[in-house]
Amino acid sequence: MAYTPRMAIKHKKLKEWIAAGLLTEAQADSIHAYEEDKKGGRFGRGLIGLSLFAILIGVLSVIAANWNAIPGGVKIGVHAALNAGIGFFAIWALRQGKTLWSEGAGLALLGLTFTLIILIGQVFQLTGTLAMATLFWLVITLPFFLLLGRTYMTVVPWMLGFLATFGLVAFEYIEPLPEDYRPVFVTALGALVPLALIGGGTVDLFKHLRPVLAEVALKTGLFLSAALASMSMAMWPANMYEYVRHDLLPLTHGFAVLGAGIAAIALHAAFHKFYRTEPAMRNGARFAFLGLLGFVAPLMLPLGYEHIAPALVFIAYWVALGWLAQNMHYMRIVSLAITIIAIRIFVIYVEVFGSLMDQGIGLISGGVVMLGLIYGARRLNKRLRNKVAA
Amino acid sequence: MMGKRMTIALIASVLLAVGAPLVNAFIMADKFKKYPSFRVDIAPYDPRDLFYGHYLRFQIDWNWKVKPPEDQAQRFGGHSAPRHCLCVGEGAVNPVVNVAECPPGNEALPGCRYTLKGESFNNWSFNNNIDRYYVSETVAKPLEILFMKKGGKFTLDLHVTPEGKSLPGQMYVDDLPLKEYLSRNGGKVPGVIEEETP
Repeated sequence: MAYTPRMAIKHKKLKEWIAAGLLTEAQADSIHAYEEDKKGGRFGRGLIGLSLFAILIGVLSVIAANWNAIPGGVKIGVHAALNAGIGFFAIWALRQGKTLWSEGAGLALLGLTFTLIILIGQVFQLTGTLAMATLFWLVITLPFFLLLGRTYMTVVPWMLGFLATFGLVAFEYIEPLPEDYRPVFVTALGALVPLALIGGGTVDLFKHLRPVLAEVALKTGLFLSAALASMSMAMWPANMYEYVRHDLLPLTHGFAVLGAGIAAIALHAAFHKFYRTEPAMRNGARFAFLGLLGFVAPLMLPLGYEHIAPALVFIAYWVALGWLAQNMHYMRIVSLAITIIAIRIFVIYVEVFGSLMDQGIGLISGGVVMLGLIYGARRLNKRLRNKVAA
Repeated sequence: MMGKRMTIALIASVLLAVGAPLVNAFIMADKFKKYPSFRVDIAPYDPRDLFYGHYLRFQIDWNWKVKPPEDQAQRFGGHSAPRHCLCVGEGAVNPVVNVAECPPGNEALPGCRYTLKGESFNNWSFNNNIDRYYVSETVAKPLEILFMKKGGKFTLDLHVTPEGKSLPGQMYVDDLPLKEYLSRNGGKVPGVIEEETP
């Protein structure tokens, strides 16, 4: 395929690399053809995923209609036969090497197993909770998923289902706990689950056997680490100082969870010989450690909303994440960090001055400040990108 | 090409995913056949679930042995509703009941025909987690109006497992099983204008 000027407009980077002598035109053509092919496949996979999603929602709606004209046994029998048919089709497609079809059918079976559980609950008027239904689904579909799920099409929805089940079950089991121990249960889950996912995603055997699942676990862990730490710091309890002063139990819990998290990270580091040969993993461990600190800090430091310190700690956390991301050349996270810092600074501005302003003037000046911050953030972002590119 | 062991493992995993819910359904069907039941009145409580579809929400109108006083403030201790048992007396319809401390294990309360396990705040409350009944969308709205506004007589069979767990059975409207009630009325709920909102 000839490298046309039209392609050059589409792929500015390729043009730059040819000009710099990094690529030949033939190599650039091959990269272009490969990327175009991949993009086409992505669209197809996306449409298949959306179609399956529509079918699953449709099945769920038909079940919810609960037509009494069809006997319960017939409904369950037909649904089970459909599930078995789709499951065996997935196996047949895998044997034929039709990955897209086997993954699509696999995803359909995962969803339809859940709707079958719902249908049985409805026919027999079962009073079980949603947490129990999702847990049952997770357990009985796990072998099928582990054997067949190899691409993002099945792995990403499964991970969402796993997290939803985990959350539902955790919150169901928190209820019977004594009130004093509920915070430590939630804190331990929030601090340790991201670490477990990150650690799990770095296990060599796991990466070798199920590379996509390992990658999704790692990314989910990193995402949860940053999201939960940010949420925890953003909701720094205003009354924590009084709470901690009168009752040392939350502080003890905070130390216990922090200790467990640090021990887990240290163990991982020791297991990987302190990342001497794996610098990327060292940055990942720092990322996880910062997330742990950020998540637990509001339980241990008696700072309230009335102080600016929580905002500064939040900004410091995202500055550190941005720095790590820059070291790892994850420029999207750098952009995200800059945007989040800009938004937090804006929120400080509103918190300090917003209530004193007339509504109109407040909105106008707020908009101007926001525009200024975005302009500054974009400039800084561009400069950092150029620096990395250089 | 996929190996023979892998194929067998995959087939087993599909059978597990399809079979386990069916085994669950079979166990439930068996329980309903095997375990005894009695009927209780139900009163409207408040319907519709994103996953399961349309349902009637209710609370069981227990036939208390000792009628509740005006002031029901008396509470058992603790933060949440503590575990208690319900002693169910003789009778197939609305048997007399009273709340009691649970005996150890799965033992029955003395002098009681059935011993139900659940939670209770005081002597005139008992929650056995039976509070909804799924109905077809074709009759959901008029049935809801009849239940919530028109004061139709609704009753429910409660099955009791040997462990003291309650299972909802057949629902009755005017002493007729729901299915029969609807078929006698041409698949409709008589006396209810569908435009009425509950």
